[in-house]
Amino acid sequence: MTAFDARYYDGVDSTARSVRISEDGSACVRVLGDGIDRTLAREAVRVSARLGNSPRYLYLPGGVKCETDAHAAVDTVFAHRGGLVHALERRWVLVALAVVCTVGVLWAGFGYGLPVLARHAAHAIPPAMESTMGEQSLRALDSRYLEPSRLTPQQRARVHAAFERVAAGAQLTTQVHLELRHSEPFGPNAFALPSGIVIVTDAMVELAGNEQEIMAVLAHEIGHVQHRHIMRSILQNSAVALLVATLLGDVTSVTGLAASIPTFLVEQRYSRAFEYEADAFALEWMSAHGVAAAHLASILERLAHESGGDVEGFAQYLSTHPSMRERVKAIRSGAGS
Amino acid sequence: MNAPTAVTSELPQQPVRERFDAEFSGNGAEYFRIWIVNIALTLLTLGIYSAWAKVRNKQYFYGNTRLAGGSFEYTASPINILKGRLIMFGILIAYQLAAAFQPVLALVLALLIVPLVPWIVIKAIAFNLRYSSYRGLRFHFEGGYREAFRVYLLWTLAAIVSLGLAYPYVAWRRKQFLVQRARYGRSPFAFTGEAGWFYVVYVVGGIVYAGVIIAAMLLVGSALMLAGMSTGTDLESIDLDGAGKGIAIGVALVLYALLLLSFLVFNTAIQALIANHVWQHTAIGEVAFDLRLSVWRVIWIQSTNIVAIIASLGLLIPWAKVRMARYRLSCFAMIAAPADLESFVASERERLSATGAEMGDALDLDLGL
Repeated sequence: MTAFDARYYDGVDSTARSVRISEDGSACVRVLGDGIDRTLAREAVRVSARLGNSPRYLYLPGGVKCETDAHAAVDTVFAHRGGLVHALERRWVLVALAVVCTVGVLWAGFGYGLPVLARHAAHAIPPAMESTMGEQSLRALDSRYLEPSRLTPQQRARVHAAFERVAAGAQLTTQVHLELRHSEPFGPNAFALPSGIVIVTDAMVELAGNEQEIMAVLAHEIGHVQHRHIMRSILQNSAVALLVATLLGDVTSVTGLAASIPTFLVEQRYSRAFEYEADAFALEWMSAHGVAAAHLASILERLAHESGGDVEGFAQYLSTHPSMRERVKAIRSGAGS
Repeated sequence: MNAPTAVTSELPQQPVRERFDAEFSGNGAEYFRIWIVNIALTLLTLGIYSAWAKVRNKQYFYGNTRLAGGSFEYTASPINILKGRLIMFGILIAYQLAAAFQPVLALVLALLIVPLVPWIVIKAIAFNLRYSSYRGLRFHFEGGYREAFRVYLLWTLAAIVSLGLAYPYVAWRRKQFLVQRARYGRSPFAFTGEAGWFYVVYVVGGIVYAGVIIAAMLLVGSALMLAGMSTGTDLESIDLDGAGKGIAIGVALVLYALLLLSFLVFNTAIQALIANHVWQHTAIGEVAFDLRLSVWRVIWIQSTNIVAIIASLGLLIPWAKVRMARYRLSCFAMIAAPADLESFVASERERLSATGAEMGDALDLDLGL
């Protein structure tokens, strides 16, 4: 015979009664004490799953609940195994497996799964949606940071011609078009917006030593467009933020701050990957059209020098663009082989 | 379990009130297993399990909250939580997509969602309380939409318009709404907290925090000045080379993180003082409560928790949560005559459901994300 003590609540008022619950080998259990004497079929009692050493609850017919810490006796009397999840939590080997599994899934998911999903999703987004987005971004930039280009008509025509040449030779799946702008805050810069808008600043054009360097920069930006990098980064970054928040539960407390660090690092990794992808696209176009890879390297070097030195070490990991030096090294070694 | 100690009663003919200290009986190692299995299963099921994980998490913390010989139980069904989460997730995705592609549509959506916010808030609170029980009775929440609309929208607007001057009052009003509209069985909670105390806490806390920040900025500033003077350069003309720029970015990031951390710690201290006041002025029938968190202990636990979490790459999150819960509950007590503890009765609805006529509420969803 097995027996254990419990607190008995009738569900009508908040009185707690001490009872003893026992079985005598038959299919029935007896609840006895404090003016209570009930004999019940074992199946009539629902038993809560085990959760660490937190109390167990027995739900009796008629809204009655019993509470106890006698886990072993509960499991014996009701032939309960504690529940499936408890079986996982109970064994250290399986807990260790859960740690490995978590790290593995996160690594594979953030490193491969999410980028692949985002790529497919980005290619599936209708161009009409993207074009609204692109126009709006351009308008927002124009109103704040950009002014009409101050280049001479000849210079502009040359850049446009280079752009047409790159676009025509690149077998694009989307339309692209070039916008030249003057910008104090951006300095020498070039970037791609959704729906294939490529913005190049006057300072960037002036920084380029020759036609080939301009084409290298344009090919790099068209690479961003062709690979849908803007859409992919929007999709990836929002998914990362959502996932980290879901996994860590509350976003408001200690873990909130801790959560922002991995989110930030993952996002940095994605954008660096995009830069390498765009470089690779540019190099492919350049080699197919007889432009030496060295031109991309040299314009990057000059850009790095112009923007006041390169960042290194820890700060390099935190910056959006990979270290220019790293990229230049990759380009030069690729060209040499 | 702590033995109840007698509290001197002012009137001898009244039943003697005793002090029941609360206790948290969970531990970090045990909760770690539950936590990591929850995360692994959530990942493997692409998030579906997160509803079950939430229930298990809450059940662990509720069940290990021991008060006067009983524990708390969280009884929500994971399916209802899953449905609620899917709905909220859908709204969030729709809004995100709209914001990215059709800002005008997003604005319309936002305007539609705003009046829903008070409703969602009371839905979430009511869900949480309805599925919380103690001594076999459930809690309830009976806050209505009109009051929630005033508390969460109008008063929030007032706090913004007054440039934060009304904020302590708004915080007080929210606590009052939460406590006064809560029920244990059919008994309402009473709240006698004062808005004046909220002002004292926020104003004094704000001054202390501003002082700390200004002192820190002066310290960093003078250190930079000294560094500049010793190398004979003034700040504007420093031309940073590659390594120097890296260090500068690193220093800026560390300062930013410290600023965030100090705000988090400061907020914890404020919340502790507020929670003390709220519980000391909350009662239900003849039963009173007491909470005496020490601001210094809370700050110490919170800041060492943050360090431990970052240093362990998150693996010490369960330990940190248990540590904080244990401290908070060790400061909590219920003051009541034993007979009063037995005097609460279930609400009519509970009796109905207890007799087997469980009412299926189509909107019985957990809408809090």
